[in-house]
Amino acid sequence: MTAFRINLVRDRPVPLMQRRVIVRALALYLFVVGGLLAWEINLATRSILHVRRRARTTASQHEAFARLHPGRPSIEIHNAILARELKEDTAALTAIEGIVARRRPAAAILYGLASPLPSDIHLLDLDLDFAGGALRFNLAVPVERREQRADTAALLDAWNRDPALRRWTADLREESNQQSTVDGAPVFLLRFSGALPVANGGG
Amino acid sequence: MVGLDVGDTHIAGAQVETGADGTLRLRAAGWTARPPTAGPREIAAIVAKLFRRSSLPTSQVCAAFQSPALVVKHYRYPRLTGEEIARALAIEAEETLQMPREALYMDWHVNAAAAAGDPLSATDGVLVTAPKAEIERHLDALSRTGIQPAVVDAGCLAVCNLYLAIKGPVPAEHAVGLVALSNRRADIAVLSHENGIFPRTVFTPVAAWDESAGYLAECVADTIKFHQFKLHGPPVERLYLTGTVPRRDVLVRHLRELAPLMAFWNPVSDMTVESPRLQPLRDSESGAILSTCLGLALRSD
Repeated sequence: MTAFRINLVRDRPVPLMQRRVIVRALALYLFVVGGLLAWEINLATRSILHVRRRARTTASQHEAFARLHPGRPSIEIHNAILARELKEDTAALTAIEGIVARRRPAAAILYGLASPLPSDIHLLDLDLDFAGGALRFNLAVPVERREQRADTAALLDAWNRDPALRRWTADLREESNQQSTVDGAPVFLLRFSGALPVANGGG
Repeated sequence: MVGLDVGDTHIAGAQVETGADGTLRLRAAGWTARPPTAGPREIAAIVAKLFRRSSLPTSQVCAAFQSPALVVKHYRYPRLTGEEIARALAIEAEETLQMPREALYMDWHVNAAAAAGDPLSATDGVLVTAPKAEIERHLDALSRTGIQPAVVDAGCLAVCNLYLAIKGPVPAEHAVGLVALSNRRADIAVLSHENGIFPRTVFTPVAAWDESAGYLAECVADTIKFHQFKLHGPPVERLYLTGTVPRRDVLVRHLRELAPLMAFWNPVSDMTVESPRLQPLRDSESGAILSTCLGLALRSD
């Protein structure tokens, strides 16, 4: 703080040009601040309305819940119970899925081998040796079918195109054929074999 | 605040910072010669160049008004209230400048010793006034450079402020004389206890003080004697000369008898100067050129 504080322009009015600049700057400032204030009020009002709507929804949900689950004290406890049950169900389903996954090759292979067979050709003696990785089965073809050779090629082709068989079997081939009887009826007995690449366990 | 002194021979600007312990630090400063025939446009260009070159901000400026039309006058009245002083000084300013109140800018200082004294004592202080038109011309010239001074002070009082900020208060036993010189002008002030001040401004009757050092010494002597014998102030024991001091030997010879302790004062030597560019101002006498603008830079209002 200085001792002598003389200021000759202490009471000097601000010049007109400077006053204009100040007034314009103030007007701009007020406009910007007013705009920002209006925007903030708008946001706050929206927020308040949103909260009130949510409060009403929550109250109605609680009432509906109380009607639906009279024994449950609150939605939170109900949620906890449901979550625990869901966890238990998930564990059970996971266990079942494991079991099904182990069983699925047998059913899938059987379905894949049988599905392309004509109605008069029968699948016999299916042997799935998962432990040894070998697959053996016989087809009983009526002796009246003269196009037996063509049938065999078509069947191998169909099996090789089957996605389930391609996944679970490999190297399907005809090993031998011989004339035999099934239930007293004369048939050609075609013996097939293949490999079982063991995946996802076997059983 | 940046102090700006547009003197008769030079234009100087300075920025000063006050530390927590009261020490003054010269942050930026510069000065340049003022051509004798320079008009407002030329002065504006010089000021703009000076501020740019010296890295002085233009946002807050305290300018000195240096003109023969400026009146810095001691007054003494019987004990008056603040409103009465204002009216009395307005009349005194009108009488001094022979102008109506509306054509004047004026301000005043009331000496603290008188203000705090008993109700029957006199009121004294300093009246500063100048024609409004002259100050407006001065401000117009500065506004060309984007400078709108917040404060317009008298150089004489700025130097007194600087002295008190650096040297501290004046003791009651004696007074201190200050003479701030430029080539054609001398601001003389006698400072006494509790910020008492008796100022006087004189101009050389010839081209420069170099040719009238004797007259200057007489003026200083008259001021000191008036303060002591007419105003019954304490004797001046120390006399400081600052600014552009011509013919120092002549002044010393004349003034030594009046004030036994007379010294040339370079205020920059009492300040902290960090910038290497400004260091020479501490050691040489050239720092004294900045006395007025350093005092102006101390204003904080």
